[in-house]
Amino acid sequence: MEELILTPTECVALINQTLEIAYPTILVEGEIGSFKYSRDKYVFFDLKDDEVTLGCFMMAWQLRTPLEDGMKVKVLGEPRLTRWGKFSLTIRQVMPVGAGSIKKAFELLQKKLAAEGLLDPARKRPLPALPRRIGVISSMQSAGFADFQKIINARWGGVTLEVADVQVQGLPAIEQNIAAIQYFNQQAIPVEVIVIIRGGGSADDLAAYNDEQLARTIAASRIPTLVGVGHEVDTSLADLVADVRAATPSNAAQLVVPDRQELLGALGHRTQRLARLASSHIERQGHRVLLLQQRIASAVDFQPNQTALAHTKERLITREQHYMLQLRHTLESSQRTLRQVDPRLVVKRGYALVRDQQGRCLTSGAELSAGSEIVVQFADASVDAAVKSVRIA
Amino acid sequence: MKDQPQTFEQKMAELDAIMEWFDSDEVTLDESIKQFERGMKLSGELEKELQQAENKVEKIKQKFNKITS
Repeated sequence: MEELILTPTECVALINQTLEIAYPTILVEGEIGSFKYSRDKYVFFDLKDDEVTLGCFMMAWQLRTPLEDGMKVKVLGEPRLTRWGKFSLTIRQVMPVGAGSIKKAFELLQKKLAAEGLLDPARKRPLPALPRRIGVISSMQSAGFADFQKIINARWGGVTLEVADVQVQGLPAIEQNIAAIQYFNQQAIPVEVIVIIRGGGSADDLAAYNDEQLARTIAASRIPTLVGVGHEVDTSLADLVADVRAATPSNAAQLVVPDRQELLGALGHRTQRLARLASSHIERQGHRVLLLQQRIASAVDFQPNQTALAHTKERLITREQHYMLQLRHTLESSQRTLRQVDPRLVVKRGYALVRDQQGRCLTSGAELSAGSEIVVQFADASVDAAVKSVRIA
Repeated sequence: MKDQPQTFEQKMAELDAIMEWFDSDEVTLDESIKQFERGMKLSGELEKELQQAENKVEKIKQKFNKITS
């Protein structure tokens, strides 16, 4: 049997091939030690527990979380032997774990982003008042998304939620949220607002929303952003860079669409006011029609029903008071009210409209003269009449 | 004149304009009937839009899974 003799290069290559097949990537959680930058391009640190210390290496641009010795982190890395035959993890992603580390990383990053002006209130854009298309980035199976959808449905209608179904915790959540924001920003007809939501969880669960690159992607979005992550007490970097921050997913729903009850109220108010304006106007016109009609009646020797006219006038005035009361009523009743003041109904109640040959309503008899041809319009018929004489009142 | 259908906001603004018109002095009976009917139509349309209950949920087909671990 022939012995297999390798060169050192071949040996390292063989072991690396074996590692690559067995463990393309592994997740390791431990404490950071001996953290240092090298020429601003590379990052070296140790990952350790009580027994073991693992050497780690990564490209500086891939590091999105400020690190310090003593912080607990979870890393995604590729196990490798180096050219010096030493074992090392080539790190792809780092996430702080544990409340203390997360807080530390958060503070460091917040300071950095603030220094760049990314948290500046002047950067914040308002959300559209009545969006028709809303981009949502969340996990469709999550309770947070269910809450959001429920509140949207309760408040508003006619909206399309375009949902990017992503993971909302762990390392994949970061890339997926970033990819989804970029997707929305690249559409030819973009959504009007992007809503990033995630329900409550532990500091570890929410850590993805403190990622520097995700924060920068949110800040760079052309489409206004609304972020509602965790509970009210939770503040993430994503919250801080968003145009608008919601306390929770439910709160995000309240901020992104108006309440139809509020708008129905506002509409009811307007409709009632229109009813009052129209009714008082028609009443004023009613008086003028009354006078004109009397004048015409005597001119064309036509006897109007005086009792009916007086009665109608009284009803007009009563109805006026009625509208004032109706102010407090709902929109539905106000619209019914509106129909009651339809001018055509006034004619039905015993008034007649007087028009000239061109069909214009006449509101003054002074412009008529003997021989003028007029049309008296009752509810059931129009009467062509000629003026005998005009006496100016 | 209007190729695009009016938005909710535009209709609301027109309704406000009609009420302002009623406050003005140039009110004539013919025009008031027209304005009144227009206001009523707008109000009905707005209410119908507000009563619209359905929201749509569309899941984006593109996958955002760049990383699997």
